[in-house]
Amino acid sequence: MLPYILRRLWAGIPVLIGVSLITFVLMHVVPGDPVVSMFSKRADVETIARIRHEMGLDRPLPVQYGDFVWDAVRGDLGSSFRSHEPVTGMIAHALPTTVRLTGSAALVMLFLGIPAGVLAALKRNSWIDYMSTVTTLSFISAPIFWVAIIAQIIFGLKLGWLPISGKDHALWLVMPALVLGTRYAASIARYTRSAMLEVLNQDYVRTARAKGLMERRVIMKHALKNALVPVLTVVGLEIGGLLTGSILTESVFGLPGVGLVTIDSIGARDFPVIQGTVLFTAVIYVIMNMLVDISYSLVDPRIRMS
Amino acid sequence: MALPKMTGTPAPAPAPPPADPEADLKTGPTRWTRFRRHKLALVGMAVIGLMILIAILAPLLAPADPDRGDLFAKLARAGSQMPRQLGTGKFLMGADYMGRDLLSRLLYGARISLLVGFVAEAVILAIGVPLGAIAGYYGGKVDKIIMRTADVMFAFPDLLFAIAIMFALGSGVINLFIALGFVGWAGMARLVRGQVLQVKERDFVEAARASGAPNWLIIIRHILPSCLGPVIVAATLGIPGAIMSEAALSYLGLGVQPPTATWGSMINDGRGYLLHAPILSIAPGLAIMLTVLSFNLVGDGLRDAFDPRSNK
Repeated sequence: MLPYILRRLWAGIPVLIGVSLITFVLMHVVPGDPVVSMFSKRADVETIARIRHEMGLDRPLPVQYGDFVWDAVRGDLGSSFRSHEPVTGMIAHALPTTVRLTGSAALVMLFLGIPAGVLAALKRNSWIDYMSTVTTLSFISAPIFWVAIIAQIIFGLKLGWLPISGKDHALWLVMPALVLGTRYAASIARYTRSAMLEVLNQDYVRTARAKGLMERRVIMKHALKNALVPVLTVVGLEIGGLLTGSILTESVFGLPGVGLVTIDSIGARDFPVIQGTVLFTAVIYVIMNMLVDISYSLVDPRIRMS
Repeated sequence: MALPKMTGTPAPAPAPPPADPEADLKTGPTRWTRFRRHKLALVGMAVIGLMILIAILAPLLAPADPDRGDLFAKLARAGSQMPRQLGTGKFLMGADYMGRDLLSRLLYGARISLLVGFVAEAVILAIGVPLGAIAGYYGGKVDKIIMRTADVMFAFPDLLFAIAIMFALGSGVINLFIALGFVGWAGMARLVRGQVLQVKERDFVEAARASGAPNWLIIIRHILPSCLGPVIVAATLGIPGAIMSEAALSYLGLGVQPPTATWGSMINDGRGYLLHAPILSIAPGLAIMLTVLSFNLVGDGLRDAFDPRSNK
């Protein structure tokens, strides 16, 4: 087991280097000098040159990249152009909101998606199955920020049950978590359904039934346990969805998470903040995927062998 | 997003791949029959056809100029008379916060969504198929370099990557093509590489090699045609992903420049008026949903047609 984990971690290092390189290139080499776009036409050439020098932007790019990586490794992502606050501090401040949102959305995704998928598979071709197919497909096809707005109209403006935005109300998390979670519950339900259908046709399920086990036991112990193995990989894929979905969800509901920090700094062309949040989110995503791979190998030992 | 979300195992190459292209026709009708059995896929195809017609005929169908408004007609209710300078008809669905006709903007919005969907997917195919084929066919160092690069692409959550690229390049339709193509090629390359690895060991490829055909000809004439099924399915399912990404980027103000009507930016424009004119945000979202749903249905139908073993 340990060699596999080490191998997996080792394989992640070039990916992380690539991620930092792409982020750096996007923010430094693309058209549009950050200093010029920050001050637009208000500053004269000399002032711009001085600021560029102070910020170290006139040094050779490889040197700048080296510094960027070395600083990032030590947890220094630079400071915001606007507030002069360290980007690491901004992320640390915003992170709990994002973690609570994506964490509770992940729970909604699993506890709504898997049972819905199992039910649809067991009641194959019944009205429950059709309803579930239509609902899941609709959720997958609807833009998440639009679903969030519809939820705001219905549960916030019309019914007045839940707050529309911000974190002041005690129930602030309910609507964002349900909107984000339901979207990915729909994907999980679809995968669970087809995984269950496949498993239910297997010989070992027939054997379990033939030897007179109770149907519930057959489903839970023999079918579901095996169906969940492929579903787990999909859960890994959907983590990326949850992360990007959280950017849009935070934006609609005005939740001060990492996503909103990113979006806000885009309008202000606050380069260090965008660079820092993009790098941070990508690194988190790489680590999450590694954890999923490792947990997958725990469930399915064949992965370790290959 | 533009990446094809494949279920479990990738679909294997369909049917025994014939070396001469004409033999391929024999398997054609069965696939079409299988596809036709999917009523919903046919409905999806009809809706897509309708959307394409709307996009092409938008100037004829739209009652008014989508980008011109009259502030006196701000948030005009459905059925109220249009100001003279905008047109002679009525606001059939009302007007937005700048007094622009909602229906006209919806019809024109189909242009951007479909254009971005098709072109971005074409860019993904143009980058992903050759790179995947080269990686799979030649293997070794080339394969390593291409696939390690793809791994890095996969390390970014799709939308975040697209946001970063659009921020760097600036908004605009062309930049959308570049951003979505750049984000999506890696998924296509992985898929094609896997297919090529399976096909290149087959006898007919061996025969072509023995007869002295150059590598590029073997790839184009013999290998790629056998990989077509899964690629078509992935491309069909990639289009709604691109449409969805365009909507999200436009919603965030990173897509197409205003005042051009796009469904994503229309949803954002309507956000300030959810209580009094919720239709301004609801209608464009429904349009996106209907379009994306149709492509998803067709994609599902195609998957079943190309891979009869999948039990959807």
